[in-house]
Amino acid sequence: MISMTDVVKSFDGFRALDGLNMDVPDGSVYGLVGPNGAGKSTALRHITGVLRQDSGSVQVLGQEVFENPGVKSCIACIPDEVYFFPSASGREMKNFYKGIYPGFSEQRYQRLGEALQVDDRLPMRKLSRGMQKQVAFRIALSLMPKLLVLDEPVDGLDPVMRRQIMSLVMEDVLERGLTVVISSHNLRELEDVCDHVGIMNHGRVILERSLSDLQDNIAKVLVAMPQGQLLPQGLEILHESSTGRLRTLIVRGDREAIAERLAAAGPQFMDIVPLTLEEIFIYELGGADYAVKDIVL
Amino acid sequence: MQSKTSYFSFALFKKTVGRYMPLWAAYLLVWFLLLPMPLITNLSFQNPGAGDQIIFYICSVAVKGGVVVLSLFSPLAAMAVFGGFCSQRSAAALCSLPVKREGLFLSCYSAAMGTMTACNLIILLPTLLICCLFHRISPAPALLWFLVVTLLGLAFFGIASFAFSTTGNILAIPAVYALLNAGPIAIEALLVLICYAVSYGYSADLFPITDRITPVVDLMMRVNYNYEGVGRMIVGWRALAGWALVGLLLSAAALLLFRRRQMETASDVAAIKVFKPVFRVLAAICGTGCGYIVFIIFWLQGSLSDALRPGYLTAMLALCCFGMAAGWFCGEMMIKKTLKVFSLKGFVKVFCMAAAFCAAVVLVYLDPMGIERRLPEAKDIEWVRVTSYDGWCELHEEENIALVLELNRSVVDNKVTNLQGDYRNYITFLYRTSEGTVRKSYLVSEDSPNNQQTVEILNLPESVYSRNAPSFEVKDGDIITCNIITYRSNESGEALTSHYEADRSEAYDLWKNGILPDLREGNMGFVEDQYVSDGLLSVDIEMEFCDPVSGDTRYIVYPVLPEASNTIAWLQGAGII
Repeated sequence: MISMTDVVKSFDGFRALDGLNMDVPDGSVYGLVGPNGAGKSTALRHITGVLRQDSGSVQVLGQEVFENPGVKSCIACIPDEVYFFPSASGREMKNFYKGIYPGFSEQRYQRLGEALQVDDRLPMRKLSRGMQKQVAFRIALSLMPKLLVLDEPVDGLDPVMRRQIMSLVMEDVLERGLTVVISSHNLRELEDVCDHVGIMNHGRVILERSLSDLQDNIAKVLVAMPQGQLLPQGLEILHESSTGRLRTLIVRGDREAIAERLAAAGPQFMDIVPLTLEEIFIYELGGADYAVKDIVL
Repeated sequence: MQSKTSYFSFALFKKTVGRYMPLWAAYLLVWFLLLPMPLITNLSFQNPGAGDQIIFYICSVAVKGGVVVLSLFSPLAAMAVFGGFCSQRSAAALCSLPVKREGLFLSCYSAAMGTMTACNLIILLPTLLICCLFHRISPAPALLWFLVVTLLGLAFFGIASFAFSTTGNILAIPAVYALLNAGPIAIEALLVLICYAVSYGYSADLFPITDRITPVVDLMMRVNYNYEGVGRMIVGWRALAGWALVGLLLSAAALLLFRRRQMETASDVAAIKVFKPVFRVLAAICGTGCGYIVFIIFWLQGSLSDALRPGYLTAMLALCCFGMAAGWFCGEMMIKKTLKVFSLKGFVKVFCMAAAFCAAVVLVYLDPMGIERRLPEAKDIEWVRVTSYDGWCELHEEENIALVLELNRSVVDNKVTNLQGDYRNYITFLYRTSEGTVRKSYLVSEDSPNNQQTVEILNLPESVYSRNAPSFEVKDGDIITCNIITYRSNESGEALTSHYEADRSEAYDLWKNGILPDLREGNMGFVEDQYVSDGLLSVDIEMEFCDPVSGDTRYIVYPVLPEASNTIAWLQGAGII
């Protein structure tokens, strides 16, 4: 669906994207995570055709997206801070988008109105941030896009509405094969919906895998070794902490191989648990000079 | 996969028109108050000349009102319709739409131009009705108004669109627009004013060159109205069409720039990289101008030529350089959106600019090329006009022109002396040569010998005649009024005034046999300090002449001196004194 190759974008000499490579498969829900200033929003603005890259290629549906109305008509985007024309109501905004997007479905809009009960006759400026987000989702999903780009999508929504909206999005993923790219700092929620994850730092994707691959490739090991016994050689330990004799290790590699190697060293106690996305994010970035090494989990 | 809305978006067009309805309504109201409203209120005004007056009014509203209204409204319209591209959030929302950049630009551009034209049509219809049905005049003036304001709209909105294309900041749009409209003339005025201050004798029109490239000034000067028939109600169509074409070309340039625009520049003062240094330099020039204005106000109390004093020159340069630095760093702050712009590199650049400016000004002041002393050759001069506080004269005779050149050289030779003292006289020389005109203007000190020389030149017979006689040969009927006022004092010192109004033939007779011979003989018409009265009787003759060819009138007062024997004889013969 999306293919970004060696994308470079500079703002007044600062490289916001520095040779970004990113591939989003068709029908996937792709979580784009990264620290502040990593270049996530810039990358999303390239995907939606707002910004033009200095070099490299940004393709959606196999075509360059910049200045390509055909491709852009298949993309819906909900930015971090939703923009509406001042004093326009939700219905006026809907009519505006309906006039521009050829695939807009009035039927879908009416049906979404039952799930997202915000009066679309009210001026947008009188709505809370969360209600504005609901209107934005209602319009975006009515555009019947092939690609939905979401930047911090659930900010301002209450927990019930978060679930409601994400279930509507997932419904489109399942029924229509919608591809979703989500940039968020709420990694626990991303973990629930994403099947692919890309971790960005310093304008590059430093890690891009399916979530299951990612979780299989890194493990959290709780181990207590006998007195004087060292850990076996060859483990790629990303982080290590200890409480008494109990050590907590974050180890990269196949879970079973790690277990076999540790077992061979004869530990007094050993347990291997999967990492959450948040933990993966923190430890992967720890290896990329991100100052999280002293965070105790 | 092409969208049907890629090159023009009707939805965006409609939304843009609808969003700024109050602005269009204000435009409509202004034109309604300027055009149909006065015509309606004058419906009862049915005298025989009313039709001509209405035609004249409509044409004047078109050419003068049109320039004012459209030049002020266009930047507002540009700020409204293109404002969405001047903030990061709205620019991102608009540019993510499946519409090409051309489509975005054209939809917004046509929303403004289309609505303005629609408003013009709404005004045209009642105007036509009132003209044809009630005032019973031709529809031509109303149609010409429509054509003129449409062309002016193309011109000024084109300039405003171009202003938008260079900046990403909504508040910078009117500033850039003002710069495009008045920048050249303002820069030229600054240069002229500085030359006035530092070059002794420099004199020129304030805007000798750039008025033609300044749309508001050019349109105001060249487009006009007159009474001469339907086909010539409005003159200056070439200027109108020319500026409309410029507006269209600038709109096309704006479109091309917008296509290449990086949307991350939304809210930046300079939207295009190449304009950043231009913007800094323009800000520095504005700062220099501000420094110079402060200098004029606080050092000179508004008197420009005092700047010639060496101490003042230092103050002027200091203020201009300070203004230049302030302008440059302000420009840098606006471009970089930070106050942290005071780098060594920046100071070096400002120092270089200031040094170049000071060097140029000091060079003009010291005049190593001797430009101040350079005067036209006597053989090339057709005539010269001398003007001072005491009066003026126009001289054609060779020996008199030589005297004027001698005076001019003397003024320049006495430059240092003339710069002393607080009380000054001014002397201006305008030379007409075969190659054009040369103007020199000087301040001279009150006790300068040049003052006496000037008075002597002003009292030469040719000077007296040129100052006191009309430029055309006066014939019977050309003197349209003639009043003779006599002041007498009786023995007790009481003043008695009598007044005699001569008819046209008497006036011509007085001119032919009294005043004209006296002027030719040098008996009257001297500059004021030569006037002598016996204290008992004085006579003033006021005459108004009308040029039979141009229709221009000239009003001259002749104080009758005791030496004016011909005039006195005529007055005595007529029994007036």
